[in-house]
Amino acid sequence: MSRKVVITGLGVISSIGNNVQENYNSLTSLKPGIGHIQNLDTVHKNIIPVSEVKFSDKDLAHMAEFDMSRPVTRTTLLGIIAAREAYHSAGLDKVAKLRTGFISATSVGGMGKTEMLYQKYLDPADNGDFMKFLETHDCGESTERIAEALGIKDYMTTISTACSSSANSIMLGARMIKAGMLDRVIAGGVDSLTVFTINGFNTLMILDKEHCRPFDDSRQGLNLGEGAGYIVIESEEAAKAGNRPILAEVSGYANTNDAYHQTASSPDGQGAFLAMKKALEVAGLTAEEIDYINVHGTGTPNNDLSEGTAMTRLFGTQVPKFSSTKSYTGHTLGACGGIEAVYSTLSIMNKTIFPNINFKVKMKELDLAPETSLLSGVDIKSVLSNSFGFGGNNSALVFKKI
Amino acid sequence: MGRVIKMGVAAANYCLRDAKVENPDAIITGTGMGCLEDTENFLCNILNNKEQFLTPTSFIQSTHNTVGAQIALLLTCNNYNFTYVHRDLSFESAFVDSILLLKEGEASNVLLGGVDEMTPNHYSIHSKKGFWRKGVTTSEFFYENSKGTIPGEGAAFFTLSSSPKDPYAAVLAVEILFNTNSQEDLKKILDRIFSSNNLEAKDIDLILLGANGDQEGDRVYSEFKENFFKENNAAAYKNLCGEYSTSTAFGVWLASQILKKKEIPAGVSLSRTPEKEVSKILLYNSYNGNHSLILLSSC
Repeated sequence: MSRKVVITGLGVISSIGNNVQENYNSLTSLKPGIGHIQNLDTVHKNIIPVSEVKFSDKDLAHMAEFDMSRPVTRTTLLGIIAAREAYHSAGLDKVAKLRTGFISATSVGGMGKTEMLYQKYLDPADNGDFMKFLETHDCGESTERIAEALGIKDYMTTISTACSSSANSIMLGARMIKAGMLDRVIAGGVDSLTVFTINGFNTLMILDKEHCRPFDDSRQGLNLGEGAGYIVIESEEAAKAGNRPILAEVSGYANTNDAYHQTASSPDGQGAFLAMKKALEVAGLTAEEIDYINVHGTGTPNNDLSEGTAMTRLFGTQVPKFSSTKSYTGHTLGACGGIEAVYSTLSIMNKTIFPNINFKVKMKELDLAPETSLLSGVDIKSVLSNSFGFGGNNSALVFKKI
Repeated sequence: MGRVIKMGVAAANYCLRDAKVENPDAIITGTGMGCLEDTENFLCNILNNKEQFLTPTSFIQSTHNTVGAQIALLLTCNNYNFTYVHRDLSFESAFVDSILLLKEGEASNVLLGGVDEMTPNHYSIHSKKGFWRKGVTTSEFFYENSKGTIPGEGAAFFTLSSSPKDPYAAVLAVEILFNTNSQEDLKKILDRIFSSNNLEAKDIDLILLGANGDQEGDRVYSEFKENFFKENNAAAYKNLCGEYSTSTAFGVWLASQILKKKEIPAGVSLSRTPEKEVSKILLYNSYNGNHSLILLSSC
């Protein structure tokens, strides 16, 4: 299985921009998207900051060119916008038929609509038009709608492993291409903010009331975000035959399980350590060859300490430059692996490391400091991107310059 | 803790014990609806208490990968752990990945499962859409010509191995076809399955159909049988497990039992008595223009 898997297209929508260029501009001008809740009806509105995409569902439907007479969720709309950008930027709309798959990921799927309608769903006497939204609840629904918008039907599936979901969809896509099952895959994930998730994370007491501060000693938790990120990956032969620009290579990937606790990460970061180690092995790289790590770095005391410990175990005293772009986008849950795959590719293409904003003081336990200012002109040959989720689900991806 | 987690962990345990595997190289699950009970609990608490006085337990357990995660936790299994949530193809997606892992040599055994639970809320909400039939418990419901089906739930787990000892069955094909109602497309996939296994339609001893008694929905199964397997013996199995997103996992469990034990349980209503031992079973399931085909053989 020596087929190389390369990236030929990128698409993203997040609180810091509606497309790749806008995201890049915000990242390089140090503008985070964190602020007050606008689009959700919740008692936490002015208390818990979030990283919201600043458009109503109606605006998003317009951007996604989706017929709003059909039942649709915010998740699907965000997904269509980002996946379509990736698809078009790779020029796939102009390409002769190749076996194309769509592999998406989400943590709560259509929950945003369900939580608005649930009491009406439960009322046996109320059988109004809203019942058509029932079929938009499950996680696979958005995948089917997005694939339909792109006209993809050779393969599609949906992965849900909490916050590592979309890193896992990229991993599956790369494996299926390597195995010759598909020629190209649009892979990534999407999540929209919901009252359900805000309250869930709030009860876990891991939401920071200020802007999150990944890896900082004073960090109090994460900020929830929403968005979608997809990359187009294909076999090198397919990309070359189609004369498509190759942006980077997906050279390594791994998924492991921490097997420590349903939500907390282990003190020694065993799952994270194994995922990073295995991803390097798959990429055929030594630890010294990693130039930059786009860390999971949620800003919770537990994640950053566990991840930092795992990094120290793997890289020793030579931990590469690293940063958490969640200080801009918040934690977009099932979308973060896809969004950060886009950012990692942008880092390689533009020789740029996006800073970890809001960091001031190293945590007491570890001698680790992320990059705090924008670095340009850095020759980045390999990037490691981490995504860790509930259920001890740990994933690492390696992107390589071509 | 929702029943889906208990069912899943229990079935996984039975399965590993049966296969004499202590710690699998991978845990891959499929679930259409995930941890419904915990999701509903947390959602109802939010709505009823206006986002106040909430505790995290049901939120923590509402995550779709909870079953796979709990199995890993109990086994201290650090290996690959994926959860697929693609509607009625969740189990099939997990199956495709399991076979890929074995082919890659990344695993020599994989714990594969399909899990879904039914809850009172899920039942009553879907009742409003006329999903369910009442008062039917036997296979007669296939022949009543009416609308709706019987609700189901379950957990079925399998140990897939590249070098098995005493196997139940061999997996010859797992194929998925998306978004088409064309019989031509179905024929192409069937031809591919047959040619890669050197088989013909007549070699299939039993067609296990995902028919669920809903008159309109079941038309696709009768067409499938009529167009491609007119002469073959056939049976449906959802009278035994009910309808749920990962009921194909139950179908695969049933087929594996038939192939190993070389007998067909009385509850399986066949189109005719088999003339010879059943050694090849093809499962066919379909929803909204999506189709899955799984071919198993005795070993």
